[in-house]
Amino acid sequence: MALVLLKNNNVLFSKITKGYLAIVVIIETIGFSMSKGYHLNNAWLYNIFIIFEAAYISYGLYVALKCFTKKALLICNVPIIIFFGTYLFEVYHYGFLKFNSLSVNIYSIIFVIISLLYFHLLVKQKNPIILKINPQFWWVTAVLFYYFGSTVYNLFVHLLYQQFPKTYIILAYTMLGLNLLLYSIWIYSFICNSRQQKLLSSLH
Amino acid sequence: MQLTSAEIIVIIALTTIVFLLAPLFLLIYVKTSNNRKRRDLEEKHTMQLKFDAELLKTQIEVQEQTMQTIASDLHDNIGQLLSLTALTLSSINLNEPERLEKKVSQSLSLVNNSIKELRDLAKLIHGERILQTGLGNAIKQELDRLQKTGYYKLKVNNELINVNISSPKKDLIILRLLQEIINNVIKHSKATQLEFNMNIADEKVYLTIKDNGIGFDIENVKTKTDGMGLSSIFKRVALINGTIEINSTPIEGTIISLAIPYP
Repeated sequence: MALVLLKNNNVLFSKITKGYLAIVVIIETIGFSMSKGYHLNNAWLYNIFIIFEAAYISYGLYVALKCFTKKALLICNVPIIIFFGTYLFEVYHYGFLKFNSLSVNIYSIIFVIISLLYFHLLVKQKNPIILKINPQFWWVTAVLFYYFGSTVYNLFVHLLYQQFPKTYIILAYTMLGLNLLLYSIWIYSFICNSRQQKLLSSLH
Repeated sequence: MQLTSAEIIVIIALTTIVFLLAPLFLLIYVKTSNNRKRRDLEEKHTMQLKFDAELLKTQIEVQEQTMQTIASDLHDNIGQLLSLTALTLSSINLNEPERLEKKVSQSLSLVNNSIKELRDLAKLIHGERILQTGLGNAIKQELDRLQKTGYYKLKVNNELINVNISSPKKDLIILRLLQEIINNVIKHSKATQLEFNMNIADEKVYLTIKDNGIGFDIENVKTKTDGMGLSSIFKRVALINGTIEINSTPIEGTIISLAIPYP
């Protein structure tokens, strides 16, 4: 859907989005095949994926924030630096074959904080925007929903899974629900973006 | 205490719902706040448009009033003077040389009066041009003109001269208001002494006009709608967010005080 909706959009963020979503599809397909088809450990694959995820979300938040503050670059470098710190720490201590959940937890919390900062600046600014058709607003909203919801998931998933293995299916559906929510809102954001591009091209 | 799987499911579901509801409420708050801002901005924009329209209407009315004054002056003063000049010149009989000089002298005097009237009219028309030198100077010229008539004893305290700030839109309205107040004083007050105080303080221009005329009933005059009456003066002062205060005492005279935000 992103490929269709963003096909004529040459903005760097849209190009990166298309690339990132292509990576998501490839990683999820391989990861699912490894886990379900061949019963292999796919943690290392997701350890590679979270690098792309952290970079993409940080860049997206930077694009959204730079409309409101000059310190956007500085703010969005924080999750990158902290993420790489914890990532290297985890790889060094637990190896590459164990999923780096600490890194994921930490950057999730930072993404939530930056998303809240975005909303704070949005409320504070004098000139209102039309939220209903603003792609950046919906993109950040999706990020906030997903990472806010997944924070609780990330914090309790291991504990619950170890003590109550039967709840695995519930946890899996919870994560699936969160993913659905994220990608649904992103699709709406891409629709807004596509409409915006059409409107702009009709004006030229 | 051992939790059952069902209880765990409920806990997970509730926690997830709570964690999803929190951003949802935030979203509603952002949307409400944004909508409120949009409404405020639209309201402000509408008010600005309304204000601009009113200002334009006032400027047109002031121009119309000026044109009426010009037409009236041309007809009643200059027209009469020139008619009289034509009549005097046409009555000259070259066979009566002893009356010739007197009639030419009378005609010359009438023409000079016409020129003077025309100059005064030109000054009235070019209020905008006079304002280029600042509101203080424009008021000074207006009061100098009044002084030259010789009918009034003037006491002037004009602190607006050499004030560097200006407000082109308001200046013309203030000048026309003052001109109209002076005209009303001349026409109705039967005053012999006039006192003018003009100063600027706390981002406001203060004008006070005091006369020793016969005074008038404010409420009665306010309701009159003809020409640039008192109600119109009140309306225009309000349009530029100013205030006007009139104190009139029969026989003793009238004090008109204006306070207008400036620039």
